[in-house]
Parts: sequence; structure tokens; C-alpha cells
Amino acid sequence: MRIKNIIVALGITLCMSANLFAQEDFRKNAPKPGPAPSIEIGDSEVFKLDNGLTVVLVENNKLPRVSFQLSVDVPDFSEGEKAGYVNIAGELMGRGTESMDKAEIDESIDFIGASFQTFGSGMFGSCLSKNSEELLAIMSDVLMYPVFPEAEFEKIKKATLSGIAQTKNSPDAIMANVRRTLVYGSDHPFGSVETEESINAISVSDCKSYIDVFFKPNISYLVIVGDMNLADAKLAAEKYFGKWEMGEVPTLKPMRVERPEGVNVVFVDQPGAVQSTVAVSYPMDYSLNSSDYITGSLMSTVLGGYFGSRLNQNLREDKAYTYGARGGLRPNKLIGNFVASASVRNEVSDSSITEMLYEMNQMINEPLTEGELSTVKNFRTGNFAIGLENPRTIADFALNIIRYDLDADFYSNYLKVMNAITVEDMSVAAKKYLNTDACYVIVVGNKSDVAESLTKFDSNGAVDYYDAYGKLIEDTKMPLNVDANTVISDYLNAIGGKEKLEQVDVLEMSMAANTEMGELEFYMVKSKSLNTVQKISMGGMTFMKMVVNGFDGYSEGRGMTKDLSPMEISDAKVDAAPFSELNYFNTEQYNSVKLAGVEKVNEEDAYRMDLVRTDGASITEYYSIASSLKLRKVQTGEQGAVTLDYEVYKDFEGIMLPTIIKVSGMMPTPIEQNIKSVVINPKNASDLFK
Amino acid sequence: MQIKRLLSLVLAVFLYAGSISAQANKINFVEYDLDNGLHVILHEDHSTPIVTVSVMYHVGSKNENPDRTGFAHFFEHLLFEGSENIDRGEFFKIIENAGGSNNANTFYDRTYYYETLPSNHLETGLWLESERMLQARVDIEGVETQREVVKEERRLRVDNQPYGSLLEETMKRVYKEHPYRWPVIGSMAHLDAAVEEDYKQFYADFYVPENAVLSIAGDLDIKSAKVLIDKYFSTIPAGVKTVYRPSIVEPPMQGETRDTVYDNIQLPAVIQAYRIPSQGTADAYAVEMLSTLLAVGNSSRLSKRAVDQEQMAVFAGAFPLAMEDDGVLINYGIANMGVDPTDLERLYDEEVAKVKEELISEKEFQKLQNQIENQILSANASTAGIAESLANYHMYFGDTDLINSEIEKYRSVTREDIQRVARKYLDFENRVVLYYLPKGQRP
Repeated sequence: MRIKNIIVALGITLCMSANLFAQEDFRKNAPKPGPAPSIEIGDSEVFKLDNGLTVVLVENNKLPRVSFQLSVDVPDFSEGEKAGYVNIAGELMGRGTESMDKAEIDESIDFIGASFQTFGSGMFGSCLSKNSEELLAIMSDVLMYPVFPEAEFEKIKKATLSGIAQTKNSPDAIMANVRRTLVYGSDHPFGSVETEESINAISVSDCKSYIDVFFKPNISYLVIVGDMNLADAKLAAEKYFGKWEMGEVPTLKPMRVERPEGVNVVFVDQPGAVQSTVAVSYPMDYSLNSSDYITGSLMSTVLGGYFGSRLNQNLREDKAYTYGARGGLRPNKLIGNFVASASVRNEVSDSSITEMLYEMNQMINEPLTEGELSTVKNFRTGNFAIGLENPRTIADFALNIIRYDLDADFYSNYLKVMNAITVEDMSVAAKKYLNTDACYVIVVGNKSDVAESLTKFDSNGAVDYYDAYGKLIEDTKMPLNVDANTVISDYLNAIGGKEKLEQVDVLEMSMAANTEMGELEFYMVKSKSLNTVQKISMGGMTFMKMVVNGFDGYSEGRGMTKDLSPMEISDAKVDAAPFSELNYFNTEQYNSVKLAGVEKVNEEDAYRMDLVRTDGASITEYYSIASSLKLRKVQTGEQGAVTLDYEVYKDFEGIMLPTIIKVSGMMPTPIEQNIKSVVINPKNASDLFK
Repeated sequence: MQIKRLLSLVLAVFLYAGSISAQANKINFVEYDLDNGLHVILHEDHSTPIVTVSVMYHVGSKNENPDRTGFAHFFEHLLFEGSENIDRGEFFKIIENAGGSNNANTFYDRTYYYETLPSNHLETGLWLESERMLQARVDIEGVETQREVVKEERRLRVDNQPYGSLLEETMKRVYKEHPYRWPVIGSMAHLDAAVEEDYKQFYADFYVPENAVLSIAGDLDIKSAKVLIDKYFSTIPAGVKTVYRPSIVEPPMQGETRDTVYDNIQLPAVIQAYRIPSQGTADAYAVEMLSTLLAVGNSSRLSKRAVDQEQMAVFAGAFPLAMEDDGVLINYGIANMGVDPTDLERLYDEEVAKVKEELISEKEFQKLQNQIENQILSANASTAGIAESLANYHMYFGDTDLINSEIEKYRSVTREDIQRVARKYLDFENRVVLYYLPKGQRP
């Protein structure tokens, strides 16, 4: 009976569990959404002052703050040799007026906790609504009575030059410079790049004339967003901007921008880079007032405009090449462009480009499924709604309608138009706007790792090299009759000659380096037999020691000794020969040894040699053109690039060896090893390997 | 413009974090606990037909095993791999198909997940987060894919960015024992060495309802939201053991540590780091105001002198990292061309000494208060901002209403307090000073 009770009891328990599980059935699938809320675009007011200034107001009282954006619709023109003066002029404008110097402006702005900036295209300020009068007074003063102080100009120039110097280390800045030069051409308004030369060519009067000529109310817009009503906005606009004098503004003829012919691969070397920044780009007529603007925008989203895009799903989610890939059309009134880009690890630079081009071609050739179209439309709809949370979005809408001469209900109809787009419409847009036959493929990365794999994409099979500022690098002067062989044999001769070097069976070296912890001692023995010893110690105490003898070997460190595995032994032997250069043309050890060009190392002209060892290691070496001596070796591995600079070669029994080796990249701080002693073919050498 | 790009690069270094400030016109909310320990906070706002659904888990890099760093951040990636009922890759598709956008972030003390959706998809958001909490897929396949993505993230943000390693290099010298010493992104070697069981254990230990806050803000109805929340979250079982929180107290700094980092940069940078008390303490608010005095706004002490008057720097910043345990104030400056970093450092020390010696004027004090008021207002301009703020205030301080009252804490700081905390914490004898130098400047 008891057992039956228990079974019954268990049965009940089981039943209850089953109920519990049955309740959890609802977790199996995504729940159905409720009815879609209606999406309403808030109101905006537009009015014009007598001087032609157009004012857009979006009133929003959620928070007690307000912002004022003044945008001047300066016609596009090229800055030419003075690239950068528009930005500087904009910055300088805010640096002093007839009644306030910079310190006073800064103090007044900070005192009310406001923010305020001036640009080449206008100015922006925001504050708590209770302080709007103070802020507007400053903005108005800066706009109408700027004095362009020379001292401030010099400061801005200096800071700009600092920023430009930093470009060399920023892959994004380099990509922007090079892409702009290629896609638009350096003579085009959008193609100019700020350089040291262009900044130094600018004077204060350039800045002053720019503002005088172009900053006119009749081509400008004042956008007010936040806690201000229409009556107050009208009063404020008139009070602070009504006296701004209108005037004629020169109209400038736009330049034609041509599509490239074929696929042009451009590489910018950023030595030591651990990622390649890759982009596919070309100019394209595409603007907010294109008849198929919304279709082009939706198509861009599918290709590379959200997490689920073709590019991101492929390069990040599927292949994990990158942290994020994106791309699409960018509209512009004068000339738009297409760009797809990602930052990927070096080894997959070429594969990433293959995949980008593949996805673009898929968009062109294969129509979307209804499912995917529906997903992206839903995404865009939701995005549109979320954007409306920010009153600035509504202001942008109002401004766009005026600037691009759009229909007044362009944005209230936006979702309706978008939802009516068909799969065929998307195909048509893809065919019209996407092109993998005539484009620029731009890569910023580590040349020795990456560049060669890219030639296959170029229509002419040749990669062009550009510098960080968008300048083409002409083929470096390579003397005739020089090849990889001559560089290496010249080196071997310079350090003692092949015969003498081959007589070195064992090479024993002691070096020391001064570090913050004290003097580090390095001891190593290399030999033709590939037996080797390496030891690092300090003050007589050994940190690490490794010995390889034939097929045996051991390592010591932290009080422990252990045998080396066969893999570790063969790894140690790779660098164990006294003069590995003797074997560079032995194909069992080196897959390729190439003369890659001429570059400067510490101001000295050097031949650059790119080597690939059979174990896969990539090494770059530099040999002085003048002395034939090896100046530098760069080996790139998992942790990045390790660079060794060889200096002060001295004679050791007829063999030249560098007595100073500067090592960087291996440890957080670089170290300088100084040779203490060298023994060639020491007696009882076999004892060393015990 | 070049300078602005440079500045945003430097600032991006700090942006693993969410911002912690709040205030606006009063933000009303409702909060309660479920039986399994999950804390729920709801804010109703009908101005736009959207809603942000978010969950904050009280696990960050400081909860990690020192041999398995990077787990908390890694989980931010891993927990998009789906669940029992959500296939790999579907998580994002579901949100996108619903018209939403989403993101997540990890910090030293917590991990945060959120999605903003059209308001008719509230239940979708609840379902997704409940799946994540109850039965997320944690397996080797997901681990392997996301490992590579995280490696690329590290390369992008740290290795290939000028000054990208600044925070990491600073923290490992400021902290010798406390888990704050390792970076949030962790060690790639640890991620490689970890096995599936390690990941499953982490999930079981930390992703439990009593270790979480569900925070929802936007176009919702409190009553019906509560019913849905009960449906999806009440049957999620609580964890089986106490959630591990480290009780390591970092000993006081013993002296000044000076070091140099060579980086792919052109302009040297000077970084000075000082230990500061944990968030929520009266002194922490005073330190934050001190940092505003030093470097917020063009008329701030460091910006005005270093950037403007003497042009020794292109950028000057003072970044208070107030955290659950004792934090750090990082004063830093990027030197202008041709400027010796030791001269920039001397300027910084002189300005800090001035604050210690002379009480700030009433006018300057008023300016600080106005600046703080503006900053606080900006944090709660969106449903996403509000949801995160509510969760932060509960999780860190146990007082969700700080979203409305925190400004009072700033208002209670006096001029004397600012001078006092400068003297007490900005101790030149006990700090970390780092120079970032271009690689070409190696001796």
C-alpha cells in the first residue's frame, strides 16, 4: 500500500512537473507582437527673417534645455594648396570678438554650463533653457564681430599640425585621406587633404576673407530644438540674428567626377599594423532628391547597413574576420559615393576583399527573398520610430525638405513609400548603384604581410602605393643590376666573406642590457650543428636557460628544469646557425627571399628584403645600400612585430658583428643589448651544450 | 578635423563603460522583487511609441578568476549565440525584424544588455532576455566563433589605435592585488586556454535572477507589463550558491610608480593616476567636481593653461573612474609637437598644487555646479538612457531614486571639500605616472 501511495505520489509529482513544462511551452517561440503603434512625426515651424535667414523650430519641452545650430550653406569649392583653411577659419572665428577675448568667451560659456563650438560651416550651442539669452548673446557676438586674433591663429595652426602628424598612426585617418583623394581627385572640393605644407601656407587673411565672403544669412539656417516656443523663437531670432547683413555669395561651378576604369588596388603601408583597414569605394550620383533615394537607402541597409547585413553576417558572424563590416551608398547634393569597409586581421585581408566583392555581386545578380526584404523593412521602420525620440531628427527632416527641395510630406510618406518597395525595385537599384568592375580597393596595413596578396584584384595586376596623405609613391629608385642575390652576397662579403663565415663552427656571445630592474645579461651559443644555448640572467642569477644538443634539450627557469619537446627543439634550431644568411637560398629552409624595394632606415637608404621561411615565419630585413651591412630585422608574429636594429659593427677576428642591438616590440619597453664578448670556435665547445 | 578625430580616439579608449549620472524633471518609476530575487524597475513614458528592455547583471571583470580574465566581456558576445529556443544568429534577426536596435556593454563591475523596440514588441524583448537568463546556449562552437571576433575587437580598439592601451597600462600599475588590475577585455591567452566547462560554470554562477536587474522604460502600461514580466521571469530558478564577489582590498600605494610605454604615436602623452574612494561616497562626488574643475570646459584649470595659454597640450583630460571598490582618477594630456612631456607633467603638478593651496572662488564654484547640472540632464534624454540609469542606481547603491536625488549629493559638496579631496587623494608621493612616447624615441 505504501509503495502504491508512493507511486501515486510520484505520479502526481510527475503530472505537476508535466504541467510546469507545459506552461513553459510559451518560451518555445517568439511571442506575437501587439498592433503596430502609429508613428507620428512631431511638428516643426519654419519662418524667415528679412535678411533671408531661414529659421526652423522644433519645440520639445521634455527637458529644460535648448540648442541652436547655425548652418551656412557654403557652396562647395576646392581649398587647393591651402587645404584646411576652412576648418581653421571656423575655429578661429570663435576665438575672440570686439568685446570679448577667448578667455572671456570660454569663461562665460562654462559659467552657464553650456557648450559652444564654431566650424567652417557654422556654429552650435546648447544650454539650459533658462540660460538661452546668455548663450545667444555670445553666439551673435561671435557671428557678427569676430576679430580673428593672430596669436589664436598660430595656436590653432600648431594644434592642427600636431593632429596631422598623428595621421600616420591612425588607420582611420589614413583611409579617409586616401579614399577621398582617389574617389574625388585631389582637385575636387571633397578631395583635398590637409598636410603640413597646406597648413603652413594659410594666413589669417585667408580665414578672414572666407568668413566675410560666405557667412551670409541668405544662405543660412538657424535650427532651434528644445524648450522654446514659437513666439520666443521669433523674438530671439530677430534680436540676435536680425542685424546680420545679407549679401551676394559667389556660386561656384561644380567639377565633374569620373568613375575609375577597372579595379584599382591601392595600398598604404602602416608598418607594424596588426589589422588591415580595407575599403571598396567609388563616386556615385546619389542624393536625397534622387528619384530612387529611398530604394537606394534600403538596398544599402541590406548590403551593409545593420548587424544582419550581407557584409556583416559574412565577414563577422560567419568568418570572424572582423569586429564589424559595413557599407552602402552615401548621398550628397554635389556627388555621392559608395563605400564598404572593415578592419580585419592581416592574414585575411585578401579574403575579406573577395567576400566584399562577392556580396556586392550577389546583390546585383540574385534577387532578395521576400523574407529578407520584409525583415529589413521592419528594421528600418523601427529605426525610423526610434529616431523620432530625438527632437533633432525632426529638425533635420525640416531642414532637408528645404535644402533638397523635397515634397513637404516626404517624411510623413517615407514609411509608406519604403514599404511599397518590391524585390524587383531592389534588383534594379543594385544593378544601377553597385559595381565591382570599376572601383577602388584600398588597404591600409602592414605591407610585408599583406600587399602581395592583393595584386590579383587589380585590373592591371599592379598595386599602387600611396602615403598617409593620399600622395602616390613613385617607384623608389632601384639601381639596376641589383637583385636579392647581390644584396645578400654583398652583405656576406662586408662581414668577412663566405669562406671565413663558413669556417665558424661555434659562435659564443655575451651581451648586456641596462634596464630599470638592473643589468640583464644575455648569453648565447650558436653552431653549425644547430646545437644552441640561450641564457638570460641578472647579477649572476639565471632567469631562463635553454640548451639544445642534438635531438635532446632542456630548459631551466624559476627553479625548475624540464626537457624540451621535439617541437621545441626544432623551433630552437631555426635560429641556431651562426650565420643564417648563408642559407637564404636553400629552399629547404626558405620559401622565398625577395628584394622588395628601397626604403630609409634611420635616415639611411637601404634595400628591403622580404623573406618567408619554410616554417611560415615572415621576416623583413634592411641592408644599407652604402655599406651593405644589415641594419634592421623585423619579424612579425602573434604578439606583433619585433624589430632589431644592428649598430656599430666591429671586427672580431676578421668577422664584422654588430656590437649594439636595439630590440623593440618584444617587451613593453625596448632594450639595447651591448656585446661584451665574442668567442669564435671556442675550445671544448661541446662542453657548452651539456 | 584632425584634432577632433584625435580626441575621439583618446576618449574611445574609455568607452567600454556606460555613463553614470542622472537627473531631469522627476522620473517616476515602479520597482519590486520577484521571489527568485530578480529586481524589476519600470518607467512609463508615452512620448514616443518605443520601449527599452534591459537587464543588468552584477558581474564584471572584477568577478573573474585571475587565470580566466576577459570572461565577463566575452559573455557579452557569447550571450547572443542564442538559447534552447533561439538558433544561432537568430537573436539579432529577431530584434531587427521587430524594428529594434540593441547593444550591450561590460565594465569592471557589471554587464548590461538592452534593446530598444517599437512598443508593441515589449513581449518580444521580455522573451529574449528571459531566454538569455534561463537557458542561453553556452557551447564550444559559439565560444570559438566569438573568440575570433573578440580578438579583432582587441586589435581594433587597443593594438591598432594610438594610445589604445592607455587604460590597461594604467590599471595594471595602479592595482597590484585587486581584480581591477586586469583589463575588461581580458587576456586573449586566457580565452584560448579556457574550456567549455569554464564557460558553462561562469554562466551558472553569475547569470542568475538574484544577480540581475530588469529595467524597462518607455511606452508601456505598468499593469500589463507586470503580468508579462511574471510570465517570463517568475519561473526562472534562483542560483544554487552565493554569487562570488571579491573582497580584496587593494593596499594603499607604496610610493610613486613611473614608467614609459612606446606606442605607434607621434605625440607624447602624460598620464597621472591617483587612487580615489568608491562611488557613492561623499568624497567621490567631491572628486568628480574636482575633475570638472581641472578639465571640463575650455576655461578649466588644465585646459586653459596647458592647451590654450601655453600650448603645451593638444588635449587635457581628467577622468574619474569611480567604481564599486576604490577607483582611480586619471589626469592625462597629449603633448603638442615638440613639447617635452616632463614639462607638461610639471604644469599638471603645478595646477593640482594650486587647487590644494588656494580655495576656489565662489564664482568658479558656481560655474562647477552649473556644469554638473547640465551634465546630469543629458544622461536621461532617451528611454535607453533612463533604463540604464535606473538599473545602475539600484545595482550599485540600492537606491533607484538617486535618478532624481543624486544632484543633491553634488550640491552638498563645498569649496572646502574640493580642496580637501585634492590634498587627500592627489598625492604626488603615491601615484602612477606613465609617459606614452613614440616608438621612434626609444633611446
